[in-house]
Amino acid sequence: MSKELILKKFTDAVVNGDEDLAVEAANEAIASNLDATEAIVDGLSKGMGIVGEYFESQEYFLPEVIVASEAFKAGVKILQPHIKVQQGTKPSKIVIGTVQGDTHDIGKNIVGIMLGAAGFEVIDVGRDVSPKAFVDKVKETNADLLGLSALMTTSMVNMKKVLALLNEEGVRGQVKVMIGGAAISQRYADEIGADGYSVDAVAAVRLAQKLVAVAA
Amino acid sequence: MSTLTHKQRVHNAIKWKPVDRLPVFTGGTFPKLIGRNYNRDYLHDADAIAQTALKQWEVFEADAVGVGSGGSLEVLANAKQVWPENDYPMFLEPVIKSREDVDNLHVPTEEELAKDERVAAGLKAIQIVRKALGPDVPLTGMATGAFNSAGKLTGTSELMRWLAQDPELVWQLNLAITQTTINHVKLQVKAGIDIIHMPDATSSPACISPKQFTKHALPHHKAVIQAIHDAGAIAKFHPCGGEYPIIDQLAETKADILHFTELVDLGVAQKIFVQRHAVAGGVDIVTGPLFLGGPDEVDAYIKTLIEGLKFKTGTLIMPSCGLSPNIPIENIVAYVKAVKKYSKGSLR
Ligand code: B12
Ligand SMILES: [Zn+2]
Repeated sequence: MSKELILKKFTDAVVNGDEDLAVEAANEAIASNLDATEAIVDGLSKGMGIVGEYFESQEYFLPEVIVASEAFKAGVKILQPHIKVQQGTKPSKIVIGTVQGDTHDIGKNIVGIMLGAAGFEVIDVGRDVSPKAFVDKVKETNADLLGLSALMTTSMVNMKKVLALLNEEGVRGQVKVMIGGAAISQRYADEIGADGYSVDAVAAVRLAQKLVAVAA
Repeated sequence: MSTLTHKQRVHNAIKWKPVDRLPVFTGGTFPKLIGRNYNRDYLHDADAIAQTALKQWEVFEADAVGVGSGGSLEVLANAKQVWPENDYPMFLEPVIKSREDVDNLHVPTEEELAKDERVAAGLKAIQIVRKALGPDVPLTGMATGAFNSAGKLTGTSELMRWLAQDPELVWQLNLAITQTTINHVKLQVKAGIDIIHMPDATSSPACISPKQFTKHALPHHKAVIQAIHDAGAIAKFHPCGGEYPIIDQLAETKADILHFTELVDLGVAQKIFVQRHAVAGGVDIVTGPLFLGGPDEVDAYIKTLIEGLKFKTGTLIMPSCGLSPNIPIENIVAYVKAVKKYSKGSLR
């Protein structure tokens, strides 16, 4: 099967939320020695990009996005061991998680997947994450970006604590902080001194790209 | 116009008849007012629930007071939620994982529900509050929407996956939830509830599409609202998020009151639903001063809100969603006062 056809299969699998098709395409890619990175970027991620656009234009809603990300993950899982480690350009790193007291993670997961699909190295620290755990992870990984998610007015105040701890530990200068989630607004981002806010996953990718470009 | 009783005011507003001022609701549960924490003990303690409601009535001076009543979902699932201190209860693991789990669900009867300790505590609290406040005070109860409840049982992501891949299974699960909710509604109304608050964030366009809403959610919402009416109570539906794309469908729920989030302009909602449905909301809890500001800012905010409304009835002023326990009490007090002040007088 031609490279174009396999890549198209990946894209279709993601857009249609077809996990089986993603697995099939991944096995074919490996069998025909297709470069794994290329398969992820030009096949699976391309599909996720389309899904993001459909989501933003409200053609897709959560059910479609969830099955799409399942297909995406299924493909990546098979391809991952075949990725050739590249020298030189390193992807920007983002630590992402939902703040303490908050177990909402669907939005954060979608943002993570979209960032991964856009070429970021995503370190997902999960949900209900303490300020200390965020800061420790930023230090440990030397991350360029930190993404904080909160969906509740009760938990969003913990974003402020994360920023305070970053300051206290003297690492605030080396990481750009972006925040989001249903409870969050630009006003709140300004108030706590975060570097950016975005309303959805597609905008989050744009924001992340902007923030690393500014930092560079 | 002479002063109306709380119930008259709410009833008139719902029917788009003249009111002396707009009714104001607060929502929220603040056990800290009686020195208690929101935890497992609290929710099994009829006296504490009742005392909290009575204290909120006294401190906030709004036109209705909520008397928390929950637990029916746990009876249906035959599973207990965990209760982290000062956090919300949740099921740690999904309790419904397969078709078999759904097939095995037994819808509890009213009698079976009333035997559950938590359900019983809620019902008893309603009776205590009703007795203490007399017949004129509107009491609000609770009927969580089917999708919201289903998401708690399966995990929301998983529910979304099911909806994409096996919608029939979601239907079956929601049917069991709806029947359970209806039985719980009947008990609450018998105990003394006048208004049932019915939120379903998970069936809103924050999660599912307007088409999915029509097919998979609306029939359940209609069934519960019909049951609320049959029991003799008022139904308030809260789509809870991204609701403009389903605003046309909200009329079909036949809910007496449509309670909007901050995403819908209350003034616009009035113009759409004038003389058909009462609308509620207007007080933005996400970017507004209730949470982020102080009493003076709240006062100014309410003034602007009310001045911007074309109609001075058909409307209940409310927070755009549930108030979280960390909202400053003095802001809530200032908010209720401001609604009374600015909506009074030259009203039709
Ligand atoms: C699904 C849901 C749940 C699920 C969560 C499942 C899960 N694993 O995440 C369950 C049922 C478990 C749940 C529980 C609760 N929930 Co809830 N939930 C929702 C709901 C309906 C949708 C959230 C969602 O997933 N949306 C879809 C995703 C894709 O959108 P999103 O999260 O906003 O993310 C997008 C953007 O915000 C942005 N984004 C998100 N994160 C980030 C991060 C960064 C860095 C950036 C840049 C961008 C970004 O991009 C995302 C993709 O486009 C909302 C309603 C609403 N209108 O939002 C309520 C809501 C958030 N929940 C609420 C509440 C109160 C609760 C509970 C307390 C309810 C209860 N009593 O049990 C508990 C909380 C438990 C806890 N301690 O955390 C309230 C919050 C009110 C408030 N203002 O404080 C809401 C608003 C509705 C409500 N009243 O019920 N909930
Ligand atoms: Zn809400």
